[in-house]
Amino acid sequence: MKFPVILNGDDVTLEGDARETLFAVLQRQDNLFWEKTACHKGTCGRCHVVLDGREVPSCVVPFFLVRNREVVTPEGFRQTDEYQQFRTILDDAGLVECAECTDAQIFHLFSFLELFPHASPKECREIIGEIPCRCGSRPVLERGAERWMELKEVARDSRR
Amino acid sequence: MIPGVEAPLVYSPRSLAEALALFVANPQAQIFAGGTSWSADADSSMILLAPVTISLSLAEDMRRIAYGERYIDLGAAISLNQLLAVGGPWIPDLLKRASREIGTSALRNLATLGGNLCQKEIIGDLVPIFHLLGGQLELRSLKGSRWVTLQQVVEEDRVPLTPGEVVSRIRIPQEAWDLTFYRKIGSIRTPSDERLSLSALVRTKNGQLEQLRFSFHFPFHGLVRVREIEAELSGQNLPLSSHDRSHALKRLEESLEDLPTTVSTFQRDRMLHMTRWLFTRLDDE
Repeated sequence: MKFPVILNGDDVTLEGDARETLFAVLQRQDNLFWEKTACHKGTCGRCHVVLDGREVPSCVVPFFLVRNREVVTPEGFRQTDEYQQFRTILDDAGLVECAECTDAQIFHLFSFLELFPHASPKECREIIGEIPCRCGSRPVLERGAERWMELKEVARDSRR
Repeated sequence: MIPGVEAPLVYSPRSLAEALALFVANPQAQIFAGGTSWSADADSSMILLAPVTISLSLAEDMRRIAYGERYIDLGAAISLNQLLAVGGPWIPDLLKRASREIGTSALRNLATLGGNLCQKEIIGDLVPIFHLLGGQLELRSLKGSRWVTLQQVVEEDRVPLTPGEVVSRIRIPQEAWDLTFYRKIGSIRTPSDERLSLSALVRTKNGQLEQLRFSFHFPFHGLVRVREIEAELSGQNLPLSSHDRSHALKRLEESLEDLPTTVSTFQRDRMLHMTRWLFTRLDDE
């Protein structure tokens, strides 16, 4: 089957089998998830995309589900201003790049904070823990998340 | 396409009524809610869909929450994160706490309430929650609708759907509880047989345990809820006497024999340990 999708802001036509995972279809696109493998259970966090504003594991999403919908991959997110702002805050908090998890962590944490802008430190800790890695960047990400929420709160207050 | 295998027929109705009509025309179809329990084959990257599949992803009317004076009605296709994002005191704390411990945040954007209740191989994590809350399920078909209690679901070990029926709403009574406890051992990465959870609702008054409801959930074995113990402990002064505690523990242990499959001694000990923990927490309150 073939149908239109908004992929990272561009109108594209994707082709695949209805049963195929979105992850597999996206891997056939240039420069998307080309270096990664998926767990096919939705638990490892390496294949997440944002589907109509909600973060989902693309390895459990069947292709038929994305017809006429908007998909943002970590590659697309990296091109946005919000990524740059968030990344700056995390860098200032002392983030050291980990080849295994940094991309996935940033994408996952940002998506969560978009949905739950008043998350507690405990909730943030749990969310960060959902991407398994032993690199030791979790405390830094927690500090970054806290700082991001503070900044967002200030921005909301100033708009009121 | 997979060579030699016919592509499935997938319908994505935009409303419950449309879904029910499709279900009548295709009685062999399988309902696809969030899809989180439909595993993908790692080699082919294919999700093992049924030949005819009805996806509820676009049925907006199944994602509504209705607040009444006595009840809250939750659409069966509400995602767990949609539920968690509801502010205020409307959604019972126990339901939120249990939902937060299911899967990962990304999976919770897909997983639905109805999907959790209708899982085939295991008893979903929300079954004991809705059971304790006194929930009911609305089963709809083109012929009409009927309500079943969670007690019936627990007794039958599954949602008693007849051909052409879909879980459309979950109704829970609006009741105030002073304390809520939810403890889950094991996560999404733990072998399912080793998972166990305790859910409890407590109402206290003047140093007395006015009402207590609690149950244990073994996803592959069943629920352990002994109403006798709940009735015996309700009305007792806090802290509970050592006689009440030991009687409750003994009765709980005996109730494991009523489960259809055998629970390991390790799991039994964990259940008893969690019960002691619950009683200690009641004392602290």
